[in-house]
Amino acid sequence: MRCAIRVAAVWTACVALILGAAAPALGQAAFVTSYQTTDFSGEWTEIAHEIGFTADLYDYTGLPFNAAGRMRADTGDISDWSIPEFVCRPHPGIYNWYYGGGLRITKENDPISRELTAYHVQFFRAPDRPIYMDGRPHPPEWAPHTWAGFSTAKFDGNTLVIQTTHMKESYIRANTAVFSEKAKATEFLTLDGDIMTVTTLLEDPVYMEEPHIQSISYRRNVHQELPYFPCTVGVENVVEGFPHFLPGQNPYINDAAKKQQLPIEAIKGGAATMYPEYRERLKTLPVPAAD
Amino acid sequence: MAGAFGSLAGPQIIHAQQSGAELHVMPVRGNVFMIVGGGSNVTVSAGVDGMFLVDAGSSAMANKLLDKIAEIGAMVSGAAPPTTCVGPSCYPAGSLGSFVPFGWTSPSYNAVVASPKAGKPIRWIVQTSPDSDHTGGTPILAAAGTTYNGGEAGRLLGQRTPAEIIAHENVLKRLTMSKAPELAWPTETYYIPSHKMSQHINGEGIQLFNTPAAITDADTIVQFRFSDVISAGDLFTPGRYPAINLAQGGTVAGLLAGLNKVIELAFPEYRHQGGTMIVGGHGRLGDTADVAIYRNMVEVVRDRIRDMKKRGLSLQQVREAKPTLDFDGIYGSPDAFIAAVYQTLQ
Repeated sequence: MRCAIRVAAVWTACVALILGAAAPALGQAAFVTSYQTTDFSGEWTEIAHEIGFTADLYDYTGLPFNAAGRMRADTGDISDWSIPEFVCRPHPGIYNWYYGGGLRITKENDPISRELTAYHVQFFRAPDRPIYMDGRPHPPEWAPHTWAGFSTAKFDGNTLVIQTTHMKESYIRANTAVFSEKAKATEFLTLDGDIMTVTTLLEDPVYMEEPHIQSISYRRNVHQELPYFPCTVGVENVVEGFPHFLPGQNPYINDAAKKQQLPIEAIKGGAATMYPEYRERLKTLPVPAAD
Repeated sequence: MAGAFGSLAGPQIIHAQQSGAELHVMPVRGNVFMIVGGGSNVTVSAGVDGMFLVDAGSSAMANKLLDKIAEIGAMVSGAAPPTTCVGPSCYPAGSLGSFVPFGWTSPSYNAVVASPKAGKPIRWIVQTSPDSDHTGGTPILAAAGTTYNGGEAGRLLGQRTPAEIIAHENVLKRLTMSKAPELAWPTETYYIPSHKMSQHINGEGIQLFNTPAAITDADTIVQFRFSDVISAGDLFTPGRYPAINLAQGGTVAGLLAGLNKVIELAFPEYRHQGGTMIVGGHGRLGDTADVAIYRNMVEVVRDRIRDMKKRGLSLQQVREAKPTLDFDGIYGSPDAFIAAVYQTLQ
């Protein structure tokens, strides 16, 4: 009898152990890995945007520009796109999310360990952008800069956090507002069902007083196949004559303020203009007369 | 082999960069490398013919440069590059040369790998500028090198002619005027717009172009035609303003013409990125777009200062007007650059 009781107790304990060990697995996916928590791969189409794909010339609202950044943008001429060295310039990697055309994200996995070693983002009008997940360091300062920069990433919970350095200077929005080659970016990718949200945080010690934050959302598109988008330079003549305006002599400098009926100070950006308190100051500033 | 080496050597070299060494090697393409930290950037073409250098760095760094160049040479001329291929099929018997009749798996070959031959000697040094951070290391580097001049009798007696030093003739003029050591003087000069090395060196044509009155009146850019690399000297110094030397014949107009010459020679790979790689006199490795961005900055600053000068502003007033405010965070202190532009404008 005692023996039967002991057998029953051991059996009960074993069943409890097996069930206890199995319980977490029953509530989770079949394969749980420590190195990846969310799959961002696939084809994506943009659905929601903070500022739209275009921008008025010399409109820097929401950009925390300092004096150098404002001077650079104010003296810029959008016709710099016409020079043969820029006419096929791609959107910069960290802002490519904001220029439409859809995108594709593919995964690169180690063939043996199957660990995720990189994401590759292909935008409509730009070279492939690798985002390394294998723990490699960023390159030294003497390494080349590219339009997309050099990106590494890791997961913070379900959020993919991407760090980017080594970017060529390029534009923030579709006008003359630029970030410098010394800028660094952190991007946060989150997934909610079929909606991916990208939040970009840019830190530019040359042109900005504070980091610039912007976001956009995409929907997974299972009917999209991202096409190749070539570019050809029409006239390959290298000449002097880079388009720009001399300081204080840009005739279009206030056009955006007039069109949008906003104070010139506000439309020229700056860290203070990003905060709610600025609404009080806005009420005190003159609005330029419309043309 | 050079191409394969270039791609396989990368991680090894990057590791060396992170060990705290003062000089850093950046593989550029194929058998062309850039050494950073020795004064000026030094471009090295390493191969079967010997070491071809563009610039010699500063005198203070010459010995360390010599070690780094030897390191590159040993790697390039090593019997076999590192490989992920394992087994007899990777290197069949005899494929490593007639003196190595066995493949990778042979102990005799492992012994050869463990005792690699030295790299080829430095045979050519091009000086892109008369500035001492480009020429200062020349005496030591040239003396360590060799010119094969057909003097076999002398060679039998242990005599050796140092490496050939090539530059625009105005480099010779500037170095003699500044009483630079004679061993730093160019041994071969050219005076026409372009000078071609007379035959392939390390598998490619190498062409020199003079860019008149740019940083100085003695500047040379060097084009590696197969590797598709250009050494632009001080015409292109990403991260710092151009050091136009008025006393040595530099002008902003000549600098812009020189930068446009570099752009004209270069081809991007795709969307103005990659393709022809450009080694500047200082700073990071660049490409066509980088040179264009740099050229644009020079042109914008030139136009601003020209406008101010036309309006009668003195140099001091121009400086106080901060015509480079939007570029200083990238290129550093502008005082010398503003002065040089102001003084060379009519």
